[in-house]
Amino acid sequence: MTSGELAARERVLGRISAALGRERSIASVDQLPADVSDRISRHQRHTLPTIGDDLVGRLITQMEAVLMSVVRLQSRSDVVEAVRFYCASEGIDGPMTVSPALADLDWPAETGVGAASGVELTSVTPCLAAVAETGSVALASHAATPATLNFLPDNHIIVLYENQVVAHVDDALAKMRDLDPLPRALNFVTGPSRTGDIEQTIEIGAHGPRRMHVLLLPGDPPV
Amino acid sequence: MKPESLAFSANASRALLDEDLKAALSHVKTGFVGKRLEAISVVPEWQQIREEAAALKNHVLDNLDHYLVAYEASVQRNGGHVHWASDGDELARVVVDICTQAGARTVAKGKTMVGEEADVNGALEAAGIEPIETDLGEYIIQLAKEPPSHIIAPAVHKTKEQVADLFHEHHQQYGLTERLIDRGALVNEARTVLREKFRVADVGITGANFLIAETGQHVLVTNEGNGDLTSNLPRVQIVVVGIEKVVPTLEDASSLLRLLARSATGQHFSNYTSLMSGPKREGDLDGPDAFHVVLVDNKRTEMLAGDLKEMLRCIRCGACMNHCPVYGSVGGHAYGWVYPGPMGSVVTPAIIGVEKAKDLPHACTLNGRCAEVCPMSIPLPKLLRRHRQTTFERGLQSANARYGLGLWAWAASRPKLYRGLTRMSVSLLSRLGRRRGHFRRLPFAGGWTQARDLPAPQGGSTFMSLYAQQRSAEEAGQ
Ligand code: SF4
Repeated sequence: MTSGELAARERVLGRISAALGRERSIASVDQLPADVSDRISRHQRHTLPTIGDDLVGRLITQMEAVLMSVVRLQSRSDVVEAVRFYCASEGIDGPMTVSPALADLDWPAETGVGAASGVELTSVTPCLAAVAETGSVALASHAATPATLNFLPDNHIIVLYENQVVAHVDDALAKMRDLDPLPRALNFVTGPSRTGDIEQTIEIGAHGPRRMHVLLLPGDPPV
Repeated sequence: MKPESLAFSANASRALLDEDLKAALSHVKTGFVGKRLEAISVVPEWQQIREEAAALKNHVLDNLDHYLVAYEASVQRNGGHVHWASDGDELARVVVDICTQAGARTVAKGKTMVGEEADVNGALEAAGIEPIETDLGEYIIQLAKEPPSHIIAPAVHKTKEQVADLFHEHHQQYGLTERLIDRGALVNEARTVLREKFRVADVGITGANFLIAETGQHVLVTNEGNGDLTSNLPRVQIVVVGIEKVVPTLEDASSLLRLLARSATGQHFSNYTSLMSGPKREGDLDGPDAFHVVLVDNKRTEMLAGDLKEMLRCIRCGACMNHCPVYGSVGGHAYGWVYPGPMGSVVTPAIIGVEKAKDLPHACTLNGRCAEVCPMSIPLPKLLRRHRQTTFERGLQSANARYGLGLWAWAASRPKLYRGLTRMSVSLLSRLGRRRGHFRRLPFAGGWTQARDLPAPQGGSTFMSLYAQQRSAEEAGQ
């Protein structure tokens, strides 16, 4: 902060404390009043919408409602073939990049591994969780899961394990909270990119992927 | 943006005669209003979630300095920089400084209403830096050199033919010479042009929907994904945000997100809801090298101190304008500044000064729909009445309104005369309007009839005469 900005900080905090009838504001986070730091560390949930017990069923319904397709696979070794089949049936023919986290699979030789370069048509990524409440996938950025793969390619294929399916957004956030360090980005993606900016009529593929496809596997992801 | 809110009456009159605008605004009803109702109807807990959200926001406002200091510390822990700006000019200066130091030539921008408050684009251009709006609606109005007319759908006033003309004019330089008219083709054309802009942008600037004190993350909500490209591709990321956006925890943000998407667009969740903080982590293959947040006051502390405090609960969902009959007739530009509709009529006078926006608090029929649909239970009509009181106390009303009201008060305080006058005019109007049942035009009532027809009174009775009849009928029946 420059000295001007330091002054701005003092000014804004001073105005707030004056507005609230306090003599002055705290200077640093160590001076937080106990009730405020308690409030922050309690992680209290608010009222959640009821969504029933069939989390996976609800997730699939919600995903399909926002134009994501879902197929079930038996095992991780089916992933490569399922990706090939999806691309062939959708008529997608072009470069593909996968997250380093999935590099152990038996991909075709020309497959890229890493962040998105902007030329690939398709990406394949794992995820941190999927949310039954909303039909979202939650993607946490990391060296092994670069975030640009979620946004640049036309087609995004996500590998999801059943035990990663959580009930509410709050559950996915709690999973992120446990990551160390905190990921730079946690992206909830709920269907292909869309816009209603021309005459309030929904069009798909505004900036991000035009298609999203989920490969649902049983059990837990490999560690 | 230079405020033109003083010209509300003239702007509104012009807007009412604009057929293109009328066609465009009709989409607000079909697009937003119906979908919102549908999305809420499947959440029986809606009212409770709403009440908790208002209580949460009140708690935050009562501890605003504490939560901001906590947020600041968390951002720093993640390797980000926090800046403070007490007004729009300071915000513009901080942003330009960061961009200049980064040697930036072009800047990709996600939608930021706070940025609009401070005309960040103007400041960047003045410094020789090209800002490029990436939200499709914002991009359209940037090409048209117009301000936004809705906080969620900035180009809602444009028809697709007008968009086609704009693209045709501005995209020829990229070799796109055909005038496309199909909506999907227009979206695709913008995607192609903007992809290239993203690729070369040095800095990305976005707003934020919430700030989380606990983790130092901001939450950014879009449907297009433009906010995420803006945050992930350029080497420097800047977030500009009002100080009232902070919440304590992830759970608090989650609760507000539930209200936001449903109220704004009738979605259960927006397509892209992202939490971010700090520059790329060690080993990360993508993301910005530097991360800055600018916390902006710009009169919010004045609202906090005064009787508009409740307005600071606003999560900028746009539901109040979608349900406002005045907004639905005149559109957003008539309001003359960044924020239109009911929330704009409260916020604009508070930020630019009531004397520069004295008509706005009166651009309201006090029908109360806005407060009913507001997910944060903000009593918008009550806050508008406070502004009205201020304009009255400061003698800021127009001469016509003052004389008109004075005349009315003079007659109304003489009951016999008043009843005689109303009886006379009602029987006159009902006889004149018998054939059609309504009036297209009436002398001295142009302000009403320009926008809508005035129904002719049925029969010749006034409220008072009906009331008297009913009373004597009741007494006779007892
Ligand atoms: S005032 Fe209420 S309804 Fe209007 S934008 Fe703000 S939160 Fe939404």
